[in-house]
Amino acid sequence: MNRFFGKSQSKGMGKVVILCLLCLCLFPIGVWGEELYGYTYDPYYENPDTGYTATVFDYEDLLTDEEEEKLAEDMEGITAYGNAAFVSAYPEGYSSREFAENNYSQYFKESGTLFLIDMYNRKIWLYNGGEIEKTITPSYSDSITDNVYSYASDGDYYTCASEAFRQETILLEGGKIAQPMKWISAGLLALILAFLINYLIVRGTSKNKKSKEDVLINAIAVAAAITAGGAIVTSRRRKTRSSSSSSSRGGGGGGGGFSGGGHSF
Amino acid sequence: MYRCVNCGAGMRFDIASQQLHCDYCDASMAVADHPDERVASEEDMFDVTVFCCPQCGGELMSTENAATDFCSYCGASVILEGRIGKEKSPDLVIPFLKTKEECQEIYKKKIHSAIFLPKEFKDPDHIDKIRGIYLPYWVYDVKQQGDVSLTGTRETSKYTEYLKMDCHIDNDYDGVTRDASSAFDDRISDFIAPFNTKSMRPFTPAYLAGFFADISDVSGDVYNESVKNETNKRTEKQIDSQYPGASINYPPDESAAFGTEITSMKSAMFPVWFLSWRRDDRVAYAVINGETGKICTDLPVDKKKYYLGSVLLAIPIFLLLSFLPTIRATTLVTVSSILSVGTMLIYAVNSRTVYRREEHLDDLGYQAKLAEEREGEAGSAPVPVEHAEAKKKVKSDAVKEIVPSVIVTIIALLVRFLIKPVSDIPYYACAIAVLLCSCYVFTVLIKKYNVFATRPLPEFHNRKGGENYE
Repeated sequence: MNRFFGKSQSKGMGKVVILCLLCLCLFPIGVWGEELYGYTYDPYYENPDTGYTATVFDYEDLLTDEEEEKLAEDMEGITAYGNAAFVSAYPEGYSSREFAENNYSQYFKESGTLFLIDMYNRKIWLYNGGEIEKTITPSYSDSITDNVYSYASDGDYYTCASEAFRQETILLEGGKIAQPMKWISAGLLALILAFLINYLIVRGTSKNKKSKEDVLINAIAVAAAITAGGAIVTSRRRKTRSSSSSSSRGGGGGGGGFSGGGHSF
Repeated sequence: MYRCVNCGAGMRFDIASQQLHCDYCDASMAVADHPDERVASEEDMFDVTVFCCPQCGGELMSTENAATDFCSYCGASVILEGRIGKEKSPDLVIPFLKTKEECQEIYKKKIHSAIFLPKEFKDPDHIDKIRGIYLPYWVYDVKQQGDVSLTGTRETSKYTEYLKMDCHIDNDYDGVTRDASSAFDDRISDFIAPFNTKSMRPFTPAYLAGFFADISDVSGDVYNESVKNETNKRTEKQIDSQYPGASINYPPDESAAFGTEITSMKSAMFPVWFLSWRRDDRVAYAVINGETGKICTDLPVDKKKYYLGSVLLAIPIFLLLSFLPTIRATTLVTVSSILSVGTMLIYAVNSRTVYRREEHLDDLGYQAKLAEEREGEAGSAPVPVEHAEAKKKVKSDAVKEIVPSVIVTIIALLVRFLIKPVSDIPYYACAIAVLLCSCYVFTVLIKKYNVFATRPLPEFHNRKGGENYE
């Protein structure tokens, strides 16, 4: 769901989970959106039929007032399906994902979509929940951010966000969005995989097999008489304990607690 | 030719009844009962018609003198030139046990699953050209006798034990076989093995009636070491079974340690059904053991079928990929690079296999004949000669065929992991370039596979033929 448009930071899943746990601990201190910037929750638009809202939290002042209003209008279509929010922020020390997730949970309790422009991590992030998530799957979120990231790279943040919400609306209304590179990549990958699979089929079906040893030996007349004397042990050397065998014994004695210690490395 | 005692027509050896049979008057008689048989079995030489292919120089002999219109070696549809001659009788023979129809069924079953095979392979007219040929073999009796002292080790839970073992060996291996025709690839004889040498019987030309035979042109001594090594390996296994759990160190010269000696070497004729297919300057063989039905086939690929099949298979894979989460540009570069490295590895392995096959480096019989022509010496196991030119060609082919792909893959990986551009375009460009290169490598791989799955037209030694024939 994220789209890099600057220096990227890659993080492992484990790290993300640990950070999420840390964030949960820090949450009461109040570092997200509203508390961070001191703004209040004031929606631009509330859908009279559904009660869902469209809100713009431009903490980094990336949009002009006019653009904010236009963007809120662009988001109106989404309010038929859930809440919509645009957030621009500089969440120093936090990932875009954490920031988007926590803002989402702070503002929306139900179906919704949040488009974040993260100026600290230089990322755009689309976060969806509830009913909207059923249509805007992570795969579609990827496609949308793929389609709009270049506007953010050029500094055209309004078009970036507006285009993202427009594509979301199209999808929510049952339409299709362009994913040209997805199809080109999938097409070429499919072709290569087909080449590979067919090649393996060719090699597999054309293989000639030699007869097994017992079949070969049965075909000749063998009169084997081996008189084997006993094996005399001339010397013997005690095996040295390897470090792996020691730790394996230690592990057996210590049970589950030991294995936990092992994972800390 | 064995004439029918009733009507005088030519008789043939009937596989089903294992008797001589006259197709004209339907008379049958046991091989031993034919009047000509008593004379033939007492002679060292027997009358044959030697058919020579004007294109490849390959020779087949037969007791029949009827004209034959295709060459089994090079697949050419030509009238083979026949001449009357005498050939030395081999000592032993295994008669055909599998009929032509049975072998045709075995062949059809084998090619059934080869979906990209050229259509001619399944053509009934082509399959009907399967021909019964007796191939010359050498049959060795090997004796091993002596006391052998061995050392080894055995692992227990606490100790490594060093062992000394004395045993007495008194082994006889009768009927170890090697093919005696330089035209017949040793690998094929390995694949169609074994022939049950316990069912061999004394040779008589009557078994050849209705069939062809290849001519023996490899000295039996060529295989002496190979035969000794084979029996030594079998003895090793027997000794191993006597000392369970022990890891035995066998001496480098096992033949001396085991007292391995070849006590007799006899010539024999073994039955195979042979089918050849030719396209341009390549030929593919299907060879079926005429006694057991074991088959070895060259199965080339029809490139058009392969490409069409790949495009068709790509459709469901494409649909499947469409249901999966979007493959990001960076992931695509990584995946395409992995696939590219995979195809390059396959290429490297194949190139080596094709090179060895084309140069006959694993064909002892062919190498022996080559050494004989080169040095004028026959009868010793040759050292395979690798031609510098052929090696150079493999390298230059690799430069042309795979180096662009290597360079593009390296660039793609540098872009992905070092340069890390913001825009997706460089990633997609790299991935598409890598994937296109992989497509190209696959086309080369299929070309190479077809070289592997076929053979160059035979050029029989000391005869004009093959591509040089004018």
